[in-house]
Amino acid sequence: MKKGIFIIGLFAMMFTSCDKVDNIYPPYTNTTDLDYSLYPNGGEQEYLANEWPTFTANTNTDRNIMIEDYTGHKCNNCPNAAVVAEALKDANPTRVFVSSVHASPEGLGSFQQVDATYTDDLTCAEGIEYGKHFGALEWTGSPFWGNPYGSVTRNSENTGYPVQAHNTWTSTTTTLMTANDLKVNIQAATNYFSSTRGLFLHTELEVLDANLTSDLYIVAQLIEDTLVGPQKMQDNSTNYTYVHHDIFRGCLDGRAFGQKLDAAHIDDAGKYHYNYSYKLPDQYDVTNMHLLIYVRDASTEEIYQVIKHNLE
Amino acid sequence: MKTTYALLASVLTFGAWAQQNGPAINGNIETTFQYLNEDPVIEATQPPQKGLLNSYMNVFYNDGKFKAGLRMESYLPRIQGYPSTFDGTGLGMRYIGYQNDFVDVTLGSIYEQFGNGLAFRTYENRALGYDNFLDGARVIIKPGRGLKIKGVYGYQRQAFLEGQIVHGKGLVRGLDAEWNINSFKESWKNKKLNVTIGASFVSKYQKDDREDLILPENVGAYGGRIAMRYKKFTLNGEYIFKGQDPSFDNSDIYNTGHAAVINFGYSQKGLGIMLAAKSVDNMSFRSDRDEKLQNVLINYLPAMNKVHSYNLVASLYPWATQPVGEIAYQGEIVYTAKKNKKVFGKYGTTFNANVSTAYRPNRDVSVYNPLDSNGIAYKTGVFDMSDSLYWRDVNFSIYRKLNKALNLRVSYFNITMNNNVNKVAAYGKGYINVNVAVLEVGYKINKKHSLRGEFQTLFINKVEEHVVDSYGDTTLQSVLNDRGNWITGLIEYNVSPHWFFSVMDQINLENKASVYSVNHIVDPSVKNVDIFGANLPGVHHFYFSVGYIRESTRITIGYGRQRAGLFCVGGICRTVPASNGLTLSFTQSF
Repeated sequence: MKKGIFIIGLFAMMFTSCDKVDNIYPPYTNTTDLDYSLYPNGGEQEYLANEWPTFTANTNTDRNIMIEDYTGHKCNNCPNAAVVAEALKDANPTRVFVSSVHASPEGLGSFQQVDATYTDDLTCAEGIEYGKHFGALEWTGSPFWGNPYGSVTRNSENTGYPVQAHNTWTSTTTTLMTANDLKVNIQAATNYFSSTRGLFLHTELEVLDANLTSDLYIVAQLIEDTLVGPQKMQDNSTNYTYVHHDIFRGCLDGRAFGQKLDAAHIDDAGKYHYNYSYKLPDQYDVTNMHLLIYVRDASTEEIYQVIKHNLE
Repeated sequence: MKTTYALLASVLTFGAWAQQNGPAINGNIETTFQYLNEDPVIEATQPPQKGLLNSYMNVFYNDGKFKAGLRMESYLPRIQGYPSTFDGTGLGMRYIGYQNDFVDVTLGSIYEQFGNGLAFRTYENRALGYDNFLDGARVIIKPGRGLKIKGVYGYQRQAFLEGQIVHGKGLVRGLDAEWNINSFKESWKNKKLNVTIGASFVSKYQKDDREDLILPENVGAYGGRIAMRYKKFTLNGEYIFKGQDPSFDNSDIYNTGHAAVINFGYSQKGLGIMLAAKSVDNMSFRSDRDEKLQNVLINYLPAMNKVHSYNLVASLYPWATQPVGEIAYQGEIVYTAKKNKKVFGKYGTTFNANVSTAYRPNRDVSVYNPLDSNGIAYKTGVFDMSDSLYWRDVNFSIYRKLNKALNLRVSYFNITMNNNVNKVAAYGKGYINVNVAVLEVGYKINKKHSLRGEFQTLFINKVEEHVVDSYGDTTLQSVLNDRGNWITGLIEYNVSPHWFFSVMDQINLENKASVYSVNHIVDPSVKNVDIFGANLPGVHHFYFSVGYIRESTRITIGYGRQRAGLFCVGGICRTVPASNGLTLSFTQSF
């Protein structure tokens, strides 16, 4: 009898160590703890008093477009896709932005690996995540089987998936720009301090479409404007002076898919603020970098808005 | 590190002393070395080091009451396809313990299983590259009368990096009680009906490290089981419930989970029948909610399909258990007919038929409201099955010994697998359906010499595929699914008791018409040649091996191409990439 009570007691003790969560959301916060050691003129209080920006009304009415070019420096067909992306950007410099993601469906594929000839590592951890996430190896049925491939604001209407081949980028971009369906607005401000290489990014996200019911995520990408390095060309030769454009180098907060604004907290016409601090790695020239800040839909993956912002 | 080697030295010294004084020391060593070549035809790559090495040595000491064990492991670096969580040289497992008739206490690396493992199982499979032991303490108490109580507490082995054990983030606690009712009274022990009941509770603790969600830090799984045996019949079942456990695997939903298995068996001389059923939903249970693949799994969900041994069946399209959810059934019958010698031969004929299926659970998503704050994504029940097929395997084999020297086995397999759910084939689309036929012949030349041969064919379904060329133009083509059709031929020659020789060729027949080829073998500089440089039709995978066995020592040398595939044990799988090169292996037991 004593043994039975002992066993029942043990089980009862362990049963009590289960947590049940009825409301899964914590009290809402929309700021990130910032690293004020990157601010050379004082600490948090000084930064808040002297540097913190105040946003005015966002008067933008245009939906911008982001071209994602999944590419690789050993992919001989990839320069063809890069030409399409650059042409779209050049034709619409204030509305079309490019993120060249060096990744394949398996993440780091043979096209992206470095070797004695292709010595520049143009990949980043977040880009590898994108490749895997949107590639056919993880996303069932995705047509993204190899490089080159890409997306136009991750719009799915063309293929049923948020990716598409480069021969449809131009038509999809034209269609979306013409429709100009702006669901979310973004504005941003930055403070860069060269002595510490510290960057502070402040963003304001404004939900314009009351019908959005999915979780939204805000992503801040670091992009290198240009880099001269080897690239395999279509005839399998190597162009050692190829100019790589708009190389995706990572996300400021390390979150490939961004920070969440959960659906339960989205209010009509609500404004939400996300702030970042980031130390620019020594390898980058601040004048050769820019940021792409975008908002994605967690269900459809569509990017509702993207803006370009310089670091300085 | 010094501590590690001091511990190793002391255990071995003590072991040497003990061996001279009676207690038993045993263990085993295994070393596998690979030298790999670049082979663009089969997409095999050469690692920068060119040579790869896996080694380990187990040493177990036992004197009846005291026990100890350790395993040194070495991956310099790991062989191709082995998980990246194995790296470096060091002590990968170690334990000490004491046991008598009443208590069994172990400290260190714990391998343990509660019931069928639905709530808790830690185990090691070297071939698979799987090791999730619990580093902590285990106590087993046997109060008598058939009652056994087990308690475990610790952190799981997540990886072995730079020669060090790396633990998972979560703390695991478990308690299990099992009672063989027949042992309660002496007069019940010889009853024809034998009944054992049991109950388990396992809990994990992991800190809530998310800003955007409130996560349950303590997640529990609990349930009960019963096993009965009556004459030639066996019946056992287990049900485990799991609390809210938002994780990477379930996309952070707050549903509860369950796993249930039922096994029925009947056996008599010449006849065996097995029926089994399994219901699983949201039952991925890891000690780190952010982990994936095979890392830090606390529980084990048994596979409900036959483990095949012929290579075209076993490693091209195997089924991996779906911890997120599946309803699975299996039935098998084995019958040996002997009565009619004219029909079934002098030695009889053995028939084996097996059927297994797995379906998606039926999930009522109407209960889901994205604006709700409870995180419940759907509603389902035990054995609540949808009509969405995941897996079906219908197979049979006939084995007959024709005379003292010659035997034959004919087998057929029809497998349908939803590649969208169980992503086995990288280039496969939707449902993969294959028909596999195998003829196996064994011939005993004399007492020492024997031959064995296999001929296997695999035919796969066709799919409509949009194929994009290098200019971005798309055309719709009807192409063979995945990598197309295959045949395999194998001849083994055994010289008992020491030598064996084998040669095998696996041929990917339809390489020019498959999705795989259209999309991926596009480099005109890649010539489709085999390892001899010959341009035969199809893609050939010649593989030669020679082995030498002497007592408990076995040395094997293999050379050739090995195609990419999946290696699965009990529903747990790892991807093995294509390779071309030399493999040397050495095993020794003592």
